[in-house]
Amino acid sequence: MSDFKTKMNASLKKQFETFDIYKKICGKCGISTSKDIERAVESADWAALPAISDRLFKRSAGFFAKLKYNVPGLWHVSSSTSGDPSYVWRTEQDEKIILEAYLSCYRKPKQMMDLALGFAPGIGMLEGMSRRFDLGDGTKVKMQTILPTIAAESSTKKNIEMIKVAAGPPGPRPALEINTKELIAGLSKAAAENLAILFGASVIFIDQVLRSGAPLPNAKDVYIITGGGGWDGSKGAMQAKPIDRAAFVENACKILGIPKQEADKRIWDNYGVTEKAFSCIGHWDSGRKDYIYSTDNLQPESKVIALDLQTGELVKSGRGIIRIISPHGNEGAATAVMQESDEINVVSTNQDGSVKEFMNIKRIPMKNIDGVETADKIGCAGHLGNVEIK
Amino acid sequence: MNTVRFENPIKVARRESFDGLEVPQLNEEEVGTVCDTLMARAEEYFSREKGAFAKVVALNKRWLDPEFPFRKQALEIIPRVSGFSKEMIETFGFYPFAWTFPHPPPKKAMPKLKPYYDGYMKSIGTERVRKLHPRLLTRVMFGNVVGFDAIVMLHGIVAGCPQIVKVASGQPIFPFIYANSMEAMDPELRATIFLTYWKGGNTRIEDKVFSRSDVIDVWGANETIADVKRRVIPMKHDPVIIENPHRIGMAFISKKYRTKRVADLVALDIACWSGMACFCVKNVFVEGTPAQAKLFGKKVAAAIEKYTRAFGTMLSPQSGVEMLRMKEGYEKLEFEGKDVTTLTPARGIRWLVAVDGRPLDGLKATTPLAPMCVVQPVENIDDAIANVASQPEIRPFLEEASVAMPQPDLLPLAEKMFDAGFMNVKTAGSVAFSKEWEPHGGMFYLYTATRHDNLRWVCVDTNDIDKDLEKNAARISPLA
Repeated sequence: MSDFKTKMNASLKKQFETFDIYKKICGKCGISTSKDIERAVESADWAALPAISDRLFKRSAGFFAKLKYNVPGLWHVSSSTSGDPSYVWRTEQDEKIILEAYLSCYRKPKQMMDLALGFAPGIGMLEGMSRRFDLGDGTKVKMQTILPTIAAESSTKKNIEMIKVAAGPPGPRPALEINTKELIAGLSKAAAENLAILFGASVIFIDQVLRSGAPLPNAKDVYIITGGGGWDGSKGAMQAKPIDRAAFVENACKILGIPKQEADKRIWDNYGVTEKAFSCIGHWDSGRKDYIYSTDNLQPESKVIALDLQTGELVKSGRGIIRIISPHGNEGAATAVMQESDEINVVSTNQDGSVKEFMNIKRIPMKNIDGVETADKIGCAGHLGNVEIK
Repeated sequence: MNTVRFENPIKVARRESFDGLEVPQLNEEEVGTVCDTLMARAEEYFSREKGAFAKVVALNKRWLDPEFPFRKQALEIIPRVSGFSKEMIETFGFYPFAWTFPHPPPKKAMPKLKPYYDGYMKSIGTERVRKLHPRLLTRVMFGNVVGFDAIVMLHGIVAGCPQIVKVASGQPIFPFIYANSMEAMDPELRATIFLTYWKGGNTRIEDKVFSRSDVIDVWGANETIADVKRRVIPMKHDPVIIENPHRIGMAFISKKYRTKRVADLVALDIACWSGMACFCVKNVFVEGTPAQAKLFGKKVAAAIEKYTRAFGTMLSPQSGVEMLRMKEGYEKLEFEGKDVTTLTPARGIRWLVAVDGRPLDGLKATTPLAPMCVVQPVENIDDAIANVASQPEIRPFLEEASVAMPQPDLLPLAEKMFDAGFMNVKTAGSVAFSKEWEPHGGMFYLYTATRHDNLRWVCVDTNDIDKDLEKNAARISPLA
């Protein structure tokens, strides 16, 4: 067995032996012993590995505590775009792995940026927001989006926070505004000193800047890395209009002075999920008018597969529901094989049938059997108030 | 791939392409000319030809011949376009082509359940007969089954009126192939029917067509029907709207019948047409304990697995998501320790059986258009019917009741099912195999366009349930 398979086997066996729920899920997939797991891993039959649905980690499902190993750690919580956050128990080692996952993605466009304009709540703000998700049982809770924020800061020489709380009377959901002065100053400095400058994180914030009509100094070496979803216009409690990817890119080129022929190298989007130590970056593809996410050299080593909902077989081309398989970053919880409620379009596959490139990520809206629809969106950033540009 | 073009005798300028198959697309400007020409041709034809109905019955018989060229063409094209397998179409789709309609439907109300051929019939409501002589019948077609879309053309042929048929985008081709077979037999009869596609809800075309139609036969989602009614009711010519909304079937199984054979038959009622037909069973009530219902549910699941392998499953992306929701929803209850068991294939969600052993509560009409059902134990069938009847909000959705129960219980329980809102009470294993004398959706095919009596016609499809169960089991024995 390869190292990946050996570790995968160990991780899944541990999960099988520890969690009754996982054992039940395995039973439904025709896997009743750890030997069966070994056989599936050995044969690289990735579609056969029983997955846990991201829905089981939602607070409303009430299972997240039953999917936690009894080890020291803390809860990672998602941004609760749906109003129903995921809770995943993570150890210190898991956090390191997640941090590495994001860092490796952010370094793909350029190893080190000179200056980053962070269009997302800063770490201090996120730490404050994390307290809202406290379970009141003495455990610590951290918004998972803090980790990509740390990773983003680690991949730049200097980071400037672009989002601040607007002045005014305090309220339960403070209005945010973009630090326009710092934005112009940062861009001017990058233009004058020929610095590599990054527009990072929330597509909702960046899109508002681009559509504000304000003239901006054009730097020469500009990159955009969005992440955490928001393309449908909602992120945490923020609500905006859906953002058309092609229009966003076209506008970015126009306003920020990015040559159109360089858009594919300079404009990126990151896909990460709260329930798995996983981050995958995609570059803009002018031909396909969408981001193409590549699973090559993922850190930590992971397999992405897409399954046909009806047959459960691997999708080699076209749409399927995404599963992420990896033995790494699962010290805290039963996350070795995660099924996310996202559909992807498979562009190309590896020899073993796993996904090499994918595009067009779409959240599957979920409704429980009581008929209550959860307007669930991709999400792992701020749960805050309205956005204002001044 | 070569383009195959389907045409009407009356030509229009535009076409819509479905996977390389082109069908006519009616334009707003063409509506007047098409209606005028069609009406003139129908008047001329039906005024002299009195044997059109018999001709169609004879044509349908030819469709039963495996060598009939149009049948062969349909079996080559339709699986690719519709997603239904050849086996599905052959088994269920061509079944009604055997109908000869030897006896006319009842002409007077039957307020009491009375013997009728090899079953029982009853009418509900106050009879108010309205005879129709439609100048034009327009049908907004369904796309969830194949074959019946040809049979419903009888509405207009019996009435001797022209028909405009708007085909469904999901299944647009079979009516054209059938119409071609009609053209080969009698081109002038074919010329009384205009088949076309337009995007559903296109008010500019539809309002023009509807304003010329005396009978509008709408099949589809409740929203579609409501939209058509909203626009048509204010029209001054007072057309009749025949509503064929979204409906579901349910099964009621007495304790004596919790057998493998009945489970096989119920599974067929669930898996036929991949669970997409209005009569497909979605909820199964089983007399017995939760453990006994679970055992029966497992037998049903095993049979559905067999049928979906034989006939295939066709899941639209939306149905796939609904099945995933349903699976995860019931699994969540199961993991919470509730008396729920979720059965699906080891991989994928080709089918789903959820056995919900909790006490009956507000019923959730389980509606994914897929081979799926929820099995629930009940102390007795009376309780199950009373539970359904206590929820007026699901009444409009009720279609067939598939039953397996002792003969002495059949008629008293059927009466209660009719009161709850069910249309036909049918022997398990027969929802897809209606007898030709049965009404559908409370009406008769032969009267749809000519006679409205304000009655809801219902029936029990057997007068010897054990014999019919045996007959139904024999029909599917090759798969047992």
